[in-house]
Amino acid sequence: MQISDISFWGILLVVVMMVVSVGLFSVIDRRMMMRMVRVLFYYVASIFLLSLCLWGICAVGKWWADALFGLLVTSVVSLLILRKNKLAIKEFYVPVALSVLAGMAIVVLCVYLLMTAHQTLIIVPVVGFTGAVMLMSVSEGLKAYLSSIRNTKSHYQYLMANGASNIEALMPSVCRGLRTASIAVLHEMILPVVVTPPAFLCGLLLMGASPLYAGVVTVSLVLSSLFSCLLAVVLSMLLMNKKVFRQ
Amino acid sequence: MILELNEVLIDGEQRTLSMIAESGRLTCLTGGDAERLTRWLWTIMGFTALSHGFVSVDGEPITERSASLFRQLMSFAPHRLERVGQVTPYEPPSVQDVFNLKANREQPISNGILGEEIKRIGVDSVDQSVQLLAVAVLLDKPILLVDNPPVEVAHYLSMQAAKGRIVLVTSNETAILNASDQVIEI
Repeated sequence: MQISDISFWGILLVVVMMVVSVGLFSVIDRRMMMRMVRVLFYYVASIFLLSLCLWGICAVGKWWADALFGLLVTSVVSLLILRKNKLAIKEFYVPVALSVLAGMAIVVLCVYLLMTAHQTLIIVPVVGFTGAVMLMSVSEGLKAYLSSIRNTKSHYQYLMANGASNIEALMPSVCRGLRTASIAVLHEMILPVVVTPPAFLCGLLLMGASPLYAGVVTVSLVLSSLFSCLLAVVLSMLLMNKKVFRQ
Repeated sequence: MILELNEVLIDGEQRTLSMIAESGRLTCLTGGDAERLTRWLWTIMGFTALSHGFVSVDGEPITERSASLFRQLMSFAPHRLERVGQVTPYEPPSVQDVFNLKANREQPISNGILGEEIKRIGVDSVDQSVQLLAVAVLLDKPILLVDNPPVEVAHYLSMQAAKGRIVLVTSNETAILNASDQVIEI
C-alpha cells in the first residue's frame, strides 16, 4: 500500500468533516475549538513521527532497536501514569519507570519464548500493546491505592495501633489497588471486539499470520499483560512506599 | 507497669505534658477538643514525633524504632472508624482482620466471645465504639487506650483497670472523669 492508493476525494471528505466539527465549536465554544485544533495538530504530527520511527525500527530489524523503542515507550508510559495520578515526577518517576520496565521485560520475554520466528518484527507491536494496557491498568491501580491510603488513614492507624506490621496495615489498600488494576485488564478481555486486542490481532493477520497463530499470540499477550500489570503495580507500591508516607 | 510522659511537647501544643499512668488505675486525659486529645494518644503509641521530652514504659523510652515493639503491649479503641472520601470497595477493618494479625493470632475470638464481652459492657451493641472497645479489651494487652468512650462504659473501664491493666482514656464527660482514679488536664 502506497500514498498513491489514497484517493484525493476521500481526503477531501475527511477534511470537510473536520472543518464542520471545528466550525460547530467555533459557534458554541471557542475555547473548545482551539483545544480541538491544538490536539488535532499534535495528533497528526505524533502519528507521522511515530510511523516514521516504527518504520525505521522494523527496517533495521535488530534487537537493540527494539530495546530502544521499549525504553522510549516505558519512559512515556511512566510519565503519563504520573501525570494521571498528579504525582511529582522528580520523586516518583524512577520507581514507576522501573516497575513498568520490569513488567514490560516480562511480556517481551514471554513473546520471545512463545514465538520461534519473526521475534524482532513482532516486538514493536507487543511493546506498544503492553504500554497501552499498562498505562490504563497501572495508573488506575496506583490511583485506587493512593486514594485508599489517603481516605482510610484512620483504618491504617487503627490496625497499626493494635499490633499490625506496616505491610499488614497497608494490605487493604494494596488489595484495592490490585483489584482496580486487574479490572482494567479484565475489561479488555470482556470487550474483545472494541478495544486494543483486536487491533493487535488485525496487525498479525495483515502481517500474514494464520488466524490460529494470531489468536494464540493475542491471548498469550493479554494474559501475560495481566500478570505484568499486577507486578508493575506491586513493585511501584513497594518502591514508592517511603516517599508516599513522607508526603 | 508504669507508662510515663515526661515533659512531652508535640506540634500544635503550647504546653508540655507530664503524667504517670499505673497498672490498676483508670487515667483520663481531659481538656481541649477531641482531636487534640486523640493526638496525645497517637503520641503515646509512638505515631507522632516529639518536639521535647519522652514517653516511656517501665522506664524504657518509646522511640521511632522501638514504637512497634511497645505497641505489642497496647490495644487501642478509637471513637469510630471513618473514611474521608470515596473508597471502592469500602470495607472497614473487621474484628476478624484484627485477630488475624500476626501479633494477635494467639488470642481466641469468636462471635460468641465478642457477643459476651459486648453484653458485659452493657451498652447498645450497634454502637461502633462499643464494638471497638470490646475488640480492644479482648486483645488482652496490659495497656488499654480508649479514645472518647461513651459515658455508659465508665464503670466497665474501671473494672478493666481493676484487672491490673493501665487504662488510659480521653474524655471531657463528667461521668468518665468521676469514674477515673486520675485526671490529667492537657
